[in-house]
Amino acid sequence: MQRRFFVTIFASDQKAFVALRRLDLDLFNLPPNKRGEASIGGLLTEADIELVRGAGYRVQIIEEYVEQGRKQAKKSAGKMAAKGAAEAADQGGTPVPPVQTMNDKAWLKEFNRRKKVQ
Amino acid sequence: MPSGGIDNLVGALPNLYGDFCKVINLKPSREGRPIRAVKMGKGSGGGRRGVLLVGGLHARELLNPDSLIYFAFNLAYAYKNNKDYSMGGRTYAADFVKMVIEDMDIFILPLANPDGREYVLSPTGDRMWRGNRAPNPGEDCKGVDVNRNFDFLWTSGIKTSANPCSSQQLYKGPSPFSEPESQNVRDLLDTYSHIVGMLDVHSYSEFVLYPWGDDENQTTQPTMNFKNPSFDGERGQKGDSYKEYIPKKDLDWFVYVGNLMAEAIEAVRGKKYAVKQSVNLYPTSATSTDYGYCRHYVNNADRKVLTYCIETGPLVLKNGEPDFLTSFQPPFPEASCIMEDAQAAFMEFCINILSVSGEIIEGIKFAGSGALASSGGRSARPSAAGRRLAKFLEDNRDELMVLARTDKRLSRETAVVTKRLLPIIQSGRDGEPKAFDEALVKRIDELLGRLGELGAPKLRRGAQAVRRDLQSFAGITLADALRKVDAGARRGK
Repeated sequence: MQRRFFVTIFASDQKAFVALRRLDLDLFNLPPNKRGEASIGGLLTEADIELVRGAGYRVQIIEEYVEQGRKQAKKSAGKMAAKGAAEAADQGGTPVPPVQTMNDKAWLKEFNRRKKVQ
Repeated sequence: MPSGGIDNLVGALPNLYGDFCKVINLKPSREGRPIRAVKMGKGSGGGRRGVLLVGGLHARELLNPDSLIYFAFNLAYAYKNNKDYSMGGRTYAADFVKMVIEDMDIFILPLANPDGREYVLSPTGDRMWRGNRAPNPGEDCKGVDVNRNFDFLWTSGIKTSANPCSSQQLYKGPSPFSEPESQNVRDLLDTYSHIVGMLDVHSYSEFVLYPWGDDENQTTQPTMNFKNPSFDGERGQKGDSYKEYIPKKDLDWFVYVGNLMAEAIEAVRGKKYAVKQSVNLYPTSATSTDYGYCRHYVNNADRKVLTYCIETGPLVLKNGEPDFLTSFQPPFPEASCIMEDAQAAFMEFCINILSVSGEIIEGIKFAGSGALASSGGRSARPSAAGRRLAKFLEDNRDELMVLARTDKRLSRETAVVTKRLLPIIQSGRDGEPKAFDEALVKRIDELLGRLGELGAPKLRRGAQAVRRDLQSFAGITLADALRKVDAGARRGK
């Protein structure tokens, strides 16, 4: 699996992103920052970042996104796991933990408890 | 909650609230998980309207299915126990809850894409996964973006990808409705033809978005529209000559109700959602909301479905930088607040789809149009009082709606009065006009007096005039009352 990074992409104004939207990229909406710069977020591979930079945009890497799947793959590689995590940490990436969830029985119990309190 | 938990709770609703909740089994997901919707509503009738609330089309936007489950349970609980439905600073009186459950059908599909959700939640999955888990034959990559798989400008390619291994996770699938997850939304709209409103819940950005998504709106050139092939290739670019046609009446409604939803959200805990046309987020095609709204243009037999997309939750910053993962998946305490915000929008949407104020205005116009003969059998002429009354309601509708919901007692009284008034207004159109009883006239008079006191001078003056006319209403039908007011005015001259 390719490495991916959360990034902010900057341009002079929102219109400049029209061309960017045509590229095959996972982009997220961003409001203008305090300096009034137009920006857009993204989850990009290294190749994507090169592509965007090549097209004249400024790209700021926020952090590496180390998804669970990759973390698990590293773990399964035995000794390589620690090295992989360390590598991710070196690059500013933190393996993302799984989401904590509640099962439906606990949910319903909590819902009923709240209604009784009300 | 995991997808199985959400499905279990959908299944629990009829067990707990069987007299007004019914499960609808839909096509299972690509990986065979059950997908079910719930229909909430008590009673039946030809004029009944339906709304469809959809969540979880995009897997990584985790809180929205939970939000819809909370909505279903809170609404059901409030109805069963005759209680108000409160979320933060916004309260809907028990009578509003009663009106929503008894006068309309609410279809809730909380989790449209369970496979994607399971992959997001799996320790071996990907928390940023967006699509479903469709195997793409001949490709290593899985998944279709379900919200780019609807039949609206699907071939245009506007902000979609034809590449199953797309980095942007915007693969639109091999054909429109190739996925059971999108088929289910279409099937609900096809099967329940009285659905006239649809709300698709996404994250993040704090937006209330209305159609169209492919290009900017225009209200003057009906032939410049998505069906016209002579404009193929010109759509999806803001600022150029192509703009998508939308009737002004629809556009006004979208903005008006969108603002009411935003106001309802703000009343919960002060969050300000921006109301804007969908294309202003970015141009799109093949989305659920454009598909829902376009159906009646494509097939005249389909009813118009007024659609919105809500983008719940804010962009979260961490050390001054955007934290996208948390924006999509806020921790529970914040997610819980966002879910309350969203529930206010859902409730507001339902009430406006029920369109009580619209029904009343149309009923008054009809009664005052002269279409109804008087009770004495005489032919009638258009009523000046009817015109005046309808105009007062049209001009002041926004202010009246806001005033009526800011105060709990007023909210309750408005709901009670509306609930009693509506059958009388509608009875004229059904050919068996009912008379106003004196107690109702008194309550309307008092309500208008209270609203007038709180309102701007223009509303106060209008309310005073309407209250004078109301004195003629007791014991007779609306059409006769309007004639009586007209006759009184003529004598006065």
